[in-house]
Amino acid sequence: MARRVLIALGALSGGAGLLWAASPAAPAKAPALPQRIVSINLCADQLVLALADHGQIAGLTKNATDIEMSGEAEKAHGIPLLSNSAEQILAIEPDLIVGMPASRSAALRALPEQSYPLLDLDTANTLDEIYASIRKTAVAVGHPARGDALIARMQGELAGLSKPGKGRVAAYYQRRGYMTGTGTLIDELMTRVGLVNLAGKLGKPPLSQLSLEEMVAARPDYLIVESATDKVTDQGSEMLHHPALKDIPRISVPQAWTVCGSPAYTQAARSMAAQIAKLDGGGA
Amino acid sequence: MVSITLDHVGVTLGRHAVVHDVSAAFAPGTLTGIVGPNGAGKSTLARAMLALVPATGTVRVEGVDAAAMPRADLARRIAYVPQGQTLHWPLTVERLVGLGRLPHLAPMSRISGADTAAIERAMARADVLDLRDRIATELSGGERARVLFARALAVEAPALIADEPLASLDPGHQIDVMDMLRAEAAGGALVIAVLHDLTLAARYCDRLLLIDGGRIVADGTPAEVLTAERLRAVYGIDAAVETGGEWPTITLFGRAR
Amino acid sequence: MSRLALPRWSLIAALAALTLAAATASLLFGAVDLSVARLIAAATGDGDKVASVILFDLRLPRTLLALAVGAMLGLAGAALQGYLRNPLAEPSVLGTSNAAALGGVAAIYFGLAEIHPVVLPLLATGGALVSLALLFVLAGKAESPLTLILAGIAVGTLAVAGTSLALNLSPNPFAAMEIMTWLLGSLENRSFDHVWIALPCIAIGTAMLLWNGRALDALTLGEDAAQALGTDLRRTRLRLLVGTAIGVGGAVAVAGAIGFVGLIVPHLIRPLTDRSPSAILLPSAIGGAALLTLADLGVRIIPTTNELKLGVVTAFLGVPVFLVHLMRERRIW
Repeated sequence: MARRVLIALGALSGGAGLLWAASPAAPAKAPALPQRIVSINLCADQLVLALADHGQIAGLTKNATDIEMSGEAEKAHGIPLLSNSAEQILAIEPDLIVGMPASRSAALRALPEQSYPLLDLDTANTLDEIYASIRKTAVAVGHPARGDALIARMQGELAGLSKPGKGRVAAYYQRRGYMTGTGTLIDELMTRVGLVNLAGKLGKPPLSQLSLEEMVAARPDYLIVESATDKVTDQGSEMLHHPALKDIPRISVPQAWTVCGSPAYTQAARSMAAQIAKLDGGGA
Repeated sequence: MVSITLDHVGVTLGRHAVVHDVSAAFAPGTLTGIVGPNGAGKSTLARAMLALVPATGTVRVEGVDAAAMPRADLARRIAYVPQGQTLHWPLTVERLVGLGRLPHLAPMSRISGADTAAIERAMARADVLDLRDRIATELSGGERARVLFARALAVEAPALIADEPLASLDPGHQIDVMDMLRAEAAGGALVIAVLHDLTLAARYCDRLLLIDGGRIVADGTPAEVLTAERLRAVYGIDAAVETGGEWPTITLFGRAR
Repeated sequence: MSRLALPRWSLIAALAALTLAAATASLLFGAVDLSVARLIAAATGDGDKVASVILFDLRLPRTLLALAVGAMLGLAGAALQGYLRNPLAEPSVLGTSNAAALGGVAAIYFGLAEIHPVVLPLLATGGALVSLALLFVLAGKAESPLTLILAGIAVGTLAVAGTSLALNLSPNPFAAMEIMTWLLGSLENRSFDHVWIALPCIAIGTAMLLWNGRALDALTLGEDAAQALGTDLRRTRLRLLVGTAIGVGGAVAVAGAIGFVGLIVPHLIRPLTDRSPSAILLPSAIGGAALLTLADLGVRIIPTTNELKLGVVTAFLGVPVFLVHLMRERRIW
């Protein structure tokens, strides 16, 4: 009996030792001017493309060149697009991996002996958080001055922005009736142009579903939709074209500008403000 | 007056020629029995007469090619009691017998008084009036046979073809059915029955067609057709045939050696 | 038959009343609570904007579709059962609904439906037609109900696999999430556009199937006897095939593959008739309309985070019926 216990304990400690050995090594320190930057997250793609030199970037996510989803898509041409594969990362031997966050990426967990320099970014839900991400990224890629310049430019673009919303109610309506709530980037954009989020008024969580009947009954002043849903390609987008919604004016914004906290934020804000002004000027 | 004429009729099912070059003529007021061993082609011949299988040669009903005749017209001339007692839905007897009026109903019409009268007559002739509200699928074999017969009688067609109407019936009910067939023929109908039972065939039929291997081997009165030599040749049995009485009686001894 | 003339019309009248009640309820209830007064005001033309839009643009097309699709599915079930002489036959069990869904999915997710609105019901009908033809080839003459059901499962499974494949291959990244709606069926968010797609198909299908009553009755006695009674079996089969394909195709194109309606309704209606196949046809259509409308009402009233799919409700009702039949399988009916 005692022998069996000893053997079991031995097996357990051996296993524990293996597990301990398998935990990732501590990340190394990044060089001052990294030359092989890999981004493993779409939003990280945006920041890296905006702040680093083209030649510094060795890998982006596969959505980086999709204009529907990536604001910096034009800048991404010519850069290898990676799927979520550990092999590809291994082959590149990056000297900086940027992710949201990078340290818990599944691909990296498959490479426990490697210690790449990592940059963990947080999801940005407010403009200030976007600025913070920009600064962090600019420093990491070796161009801190560019970060400051970008922030200054953005502040300038937003300074002159009017608030044509005038407190009217808008709902960000997605495929299948999903509605974005408060505490999100969309919500902040709405506030910036002077709109009130319907989800906030109804006390809904950051993501909820609202049926057509409820939307009609709620009578928002505007519907904000992703420009990709302007075309009916599936039942989800078909719903947004239901005749019941035809009398609610629409503001259309590409998802590429809103899905990530990125420099495209200012484009989104200006587009929304311009569309509201146009709808006001155009008629009742 | 209806007549059925077979002119060099042949039927091929799959790759087998099941019926070869059969020619015969049938007149009203007679009960003709088609007999022969298993697989001789008797049922197929019956089905060919109703244009239920494609056939070479011609089947003429009242002088008109049956294959060219519209189905409804043919249905009004010949009533058919198929093999087996197929019944897929639990209809009442009256409703079932009423199906016999289908060939007479115009596309969107309901059953008329004349139809109801025909149904009553048919049920009376087949002696199933007391069964009219029973569910047909719950009847005994003998009752069901009479009900299906009534269904055919309801068509009130001048000709009637019955395929093995005596299958799985006890002797009493077999006699009932043969009596009904006989009565119909006596009433002027052209009746053809495919039969297995030689004794009953000999007793009731005016004429017998002996079929073997898809060909007519003999055609005449029961006494002419059923001889001991023929029975040995066609069925491979040892039998004696007594022709003294009103109809031939057959005694079976066993397999022919 | 003349004895049953009165009960037949009283059955139809009762079913029609039930259907009317279901339709009215369907207009009165929904995600948003609207008082009856407001709805009546909207119906007569001087209601407020919200109530009018909800009533005419949302609830009315949905109710009309529930009635039409339910009627078509109920009728298709009754007709197929009559023709195949099998009380378990119906479009979803035989895989026809799933095949129609495959056609619909191909039309929408590969952009074909944008060519012309008629492409959607056309491809759905095509899918249904192919599946029915395949089924008839595999098991049309089988005496055993089991052969037919097995063939139906084979066809249906193939269609489901094809649908999943099509959705995954589609260039649209969101397509794969819509599988549930197609394979379980839903009337959520339907508009009058869908009504105009489905209604002509269902009207044609209904007419073609109702025409077969006599032939189905004659088939009670088997194919030979039916032909000997003057039935043109080939034409009957063609009408049945094409009518079912067009009607079910149109229904599935707008509502997805809702199952079991054609199984439940004839089963419930049969004991109230003289059990002949023709007697069940029209009552099954009306009963199907009532059933689906009530089921659709149910999915809207039952409080769940996401609206329940219609096929879930009909499946819960239908599987017990299926099992009851299966346990009786030794009897021909």
